[in-house]
Amino acid sequence: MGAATAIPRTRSATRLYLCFTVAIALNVAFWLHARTMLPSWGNVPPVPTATSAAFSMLGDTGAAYRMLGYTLQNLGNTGGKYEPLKNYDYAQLEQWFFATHDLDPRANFVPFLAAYYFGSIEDEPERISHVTNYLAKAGADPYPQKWRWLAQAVFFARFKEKDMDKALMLANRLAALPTDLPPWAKQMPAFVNMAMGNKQASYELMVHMLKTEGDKLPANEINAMVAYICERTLTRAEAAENPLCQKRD
Amino acid sequence: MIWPLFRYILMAARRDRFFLAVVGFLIATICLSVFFGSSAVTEQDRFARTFAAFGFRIFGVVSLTLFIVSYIRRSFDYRDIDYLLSRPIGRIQFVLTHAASFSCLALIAAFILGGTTVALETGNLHEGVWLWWLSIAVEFIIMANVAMFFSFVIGSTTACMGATFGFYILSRLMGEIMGILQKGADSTLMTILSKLMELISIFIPRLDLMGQTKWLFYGTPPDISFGFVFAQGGVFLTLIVLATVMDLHRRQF
Repeated sequence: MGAATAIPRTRSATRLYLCFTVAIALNVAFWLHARTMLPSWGNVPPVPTATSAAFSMLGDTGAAYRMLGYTLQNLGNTGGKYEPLKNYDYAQLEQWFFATHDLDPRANFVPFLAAYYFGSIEDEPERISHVTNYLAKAGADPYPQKWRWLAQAVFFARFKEKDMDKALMLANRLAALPTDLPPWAKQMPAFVNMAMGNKQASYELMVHMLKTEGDKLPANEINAMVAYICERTLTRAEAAENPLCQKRD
Repeated sequence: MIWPLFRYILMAARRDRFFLAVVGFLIATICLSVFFGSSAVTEQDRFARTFAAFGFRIFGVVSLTLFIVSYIRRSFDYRDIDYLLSRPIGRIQFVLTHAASFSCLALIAAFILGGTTVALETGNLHEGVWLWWLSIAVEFIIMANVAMFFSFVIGSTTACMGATFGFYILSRLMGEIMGILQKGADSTLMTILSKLMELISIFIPRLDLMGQTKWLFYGTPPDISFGFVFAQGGVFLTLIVLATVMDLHRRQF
């Protein structure tokens, strides 16, 4: 084996290297132009129909529900940026909620998102009314523990929308549900008429729900409710003294 | 000759790493499902199980189709079919042995993929889980035999795969398509097309009524039973296997 000899560079090889260098330079130029072009958020996209959503998952409506739910959860997250809820088109969101409801009325993922994520927007009665409308529908379904979403809808209508008539109508609907309701849910119409503040009402509703339904709800939902009470409803000082929040720490 | 042919096909599957591919799909699907499921804000286990069951169903059909189409087309190209048919075996037995072997492979795939879903079931094993598993097995058997039919009938591997996957998508969406058709058409052209589609739908199995992931959580739907799944499998398998037999019967070698 002799020593390796360098292959003499012919004119065609030189041209090839030159072309390759130009190709790299073009790539770098394109990259410099495109690097500032980031994905932008075009707000809540048009809602697919339940049929087209089922088509996209080859007719499996359960999988289509999960896919739409996943899309809803990550809607405002584009290119590492998180859109504040006040920028969302809630009217469009409501249609998304109802599309998922058609696919799987028994699941609780989208009602959970609507109540604890999209419903956490403050001082936007018009926007929250879309969440209330959906929760009122989801809460009237004849499946176990569904009524809790109707109870949430009553709370939203009364304290976030400040629409007494709507709240009373929903509370009456809740009290009349032909399911096994705890006493406090049956007394919802009275709850609506009580002159209490938003925070106190929220606290009462959540604590009652935890007490009577805690053993039937998924752990994630209980954690979300406790977090809502301790981080959003109570002040830091109140939370420090509250046994529920102390247990959490 | 029937038994050696049956074993020969199963050995070809092993040689083609079919079982390894199924296990590979299984691991990849579980990893992706757990990953996507864990990023949901609630019901993570339901997300993971839905995506896993959905993925197992798709990958089961894909791996069966890829093996069966490539195996049969290779057998034609290398004259294995001519050789096998020169042995003491009739054409009907030849097709039936292939159908039995591919159905056996489909059952093994359903056992591995469906069995994993059942093993991952964290709640009680209710009737819906068993119905899902059975319907997945019947769907795999139907699609294995459909892949066999197209491979005998169509001369190109690419076209066979296209036809099989197209058939599968149509079968999975047939319920939605029928729903659209029954809403009525607003023009003469649409009326003709909907009648044509209705005619086609007679020969397409209703795979939208099989393997729904919702059954894993909510139990069996009121209108679908074990008998319905068996009946659909029996009716369609008879049709597709007979069609394959008829095609091979009139073929000149």
